[in-house]
Amino acid sequence: MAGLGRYIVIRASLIVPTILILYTFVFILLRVLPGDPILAVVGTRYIPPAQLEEMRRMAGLDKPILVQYFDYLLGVMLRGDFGKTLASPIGKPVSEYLWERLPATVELTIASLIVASLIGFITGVGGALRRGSRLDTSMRIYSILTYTLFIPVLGMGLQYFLGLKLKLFYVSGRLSAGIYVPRLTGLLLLDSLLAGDLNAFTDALRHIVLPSLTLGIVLSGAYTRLIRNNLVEVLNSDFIRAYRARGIPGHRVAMYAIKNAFIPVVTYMGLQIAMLLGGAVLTETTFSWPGLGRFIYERIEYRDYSSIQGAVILFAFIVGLMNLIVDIVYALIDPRVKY
Amino acid sequence: MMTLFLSTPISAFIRSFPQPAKSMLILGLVIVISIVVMAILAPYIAPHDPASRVYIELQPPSRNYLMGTNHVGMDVFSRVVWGSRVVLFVVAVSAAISMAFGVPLGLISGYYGGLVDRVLSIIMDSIYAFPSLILAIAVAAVLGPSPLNAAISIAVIYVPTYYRMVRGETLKVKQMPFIEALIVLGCSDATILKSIFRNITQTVLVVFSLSVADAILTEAALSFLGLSVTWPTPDWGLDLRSGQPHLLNGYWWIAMCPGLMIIALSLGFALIGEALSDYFSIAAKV
Repeated sequence: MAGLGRYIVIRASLIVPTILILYTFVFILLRVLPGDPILAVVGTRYIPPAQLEEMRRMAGLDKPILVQYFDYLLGVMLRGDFGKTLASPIGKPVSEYLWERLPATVELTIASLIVASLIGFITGVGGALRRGSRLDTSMRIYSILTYTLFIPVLGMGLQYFLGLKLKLFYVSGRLSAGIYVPRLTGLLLLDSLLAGDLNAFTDALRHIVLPSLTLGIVLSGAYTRLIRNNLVEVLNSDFIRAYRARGIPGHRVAMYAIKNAFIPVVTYMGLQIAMLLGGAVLTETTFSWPGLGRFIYERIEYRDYSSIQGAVILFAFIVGLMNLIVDIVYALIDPRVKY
Repeated sequence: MMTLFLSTPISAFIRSFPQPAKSMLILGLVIVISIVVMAILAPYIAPHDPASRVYIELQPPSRNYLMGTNHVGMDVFSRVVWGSRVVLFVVAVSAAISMAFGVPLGLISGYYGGLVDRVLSIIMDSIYAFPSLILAIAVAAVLGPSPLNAAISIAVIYVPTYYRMVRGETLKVKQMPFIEALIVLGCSDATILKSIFRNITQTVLVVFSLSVADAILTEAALSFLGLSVTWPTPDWGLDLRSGQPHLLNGYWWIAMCPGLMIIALSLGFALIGEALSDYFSIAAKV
């Protein structure tokens, strides 16, 4: 395992430039674009120039740009400091909001990934085993359709039928009023189980079903296609033909094939993190899910530039980190990866 | 009219598609062309003023109000018809901008290689790895809400898509004997790049269709989040947003009619893109 340790260190150090480039990109972008963030917050209200200066100082915008760049970066890296909010309530650390909101997004994305991979697995394997059949074609159409399903539309459709008409699930929020779950991890499903509160668990579950189903369905099409194409390729390979020639039963051959077809899927999960987080913004907005995406939406209305910057940069870190995790998982399951 | 169309090279091209790509292409073209026609002829198609109260609010679809009325008594159908203009404008402008940057940069990067290529690749890959919608939101939030700003922020996120595909294809085409021949003949770089470009237009076409399909959803997302047009301008994403509270009270038509149009338009481009990538056997990733 010493080799693996070294591999992780090397991969981790390769993530640093990715995060730095993303940070630099966001940083420059938010500064070269026309529009003064402070004036954007203020809007049409009259604010005395002295107070404007004060706000500018609070946002760190009065310093030279290079100082701003390193101040912010070091603040984030060393102290987890993402600056202060520029809109009401003014002057609160952005990081407080970010940590409060992060678990909701994590919970939603995990649940959605589970939904997406389950649907993707069933449809993809189905299509590959019956290649060229009508089932295969309909799975292909399904994967194109999911690609164009606009998250809020699908979400509202589910809200209307499963929430409003059938009253099976809640249409917004994470937990009903009056139910309290002590915060350990911030993941409500986990926390309520740890607290042994089954009532809260069911309530949290009935809240998360619709948003995770929405995001999961939209993401599943890519898995359908990927699993189908990989499996078709593996089923045509020599070792599968050899198994068949030896008279191994079809379903067992399929098991071997599926196992091998899954390796590229893990890589893809890493690539999909970006799509997942982008989708989370829309899903959270549609379902009033109090996560990071919803936070960005709320701060857009206030034009709170420093909160938006903080959330976007946190997303950049998450993307970098997730890519690292995927690399490690990949190394663990695929013996061909040298470390 | 029909026989005239059947004799054109375009129809011969469409007929040369194998199934199921042909059906996908035709369906996609029908959807996209009808929506474009609807946008152009909006003043003649829309029966009512899209931005003023014309009837009792929250009425379900009826003969005079095909998609019902919204919460302030505007005709939803007229809003859907006019709303197509915003999305098509934003998507067309953003595609033009991202192509104008992505294609030449990809050509230069792929053809010359070296340090320029490496620096550009790292930057483009990083942007590509980032959640595109969040990036677009960040840009649009700083620029302020307007359709043109929405177009600019969408353009930013699709530059890497064009860049990566064009660069990859350029690397392939560059190896071909006819390019070597051009070099030996002493042609200028501009001539050679032009010649490479002519050989990758198919790829650009596929990337265009698929990324437009995606850009439509991004545009809808930005206006859904309030970063494009402002009320009461008719716009699909915005109407979806303003219709949601009423959908939760049972008035589904206000949100769902524009919402389904977003999906239809995106599906149209996705079908065209899929069919083209089948036909040219280009595995495009957008």
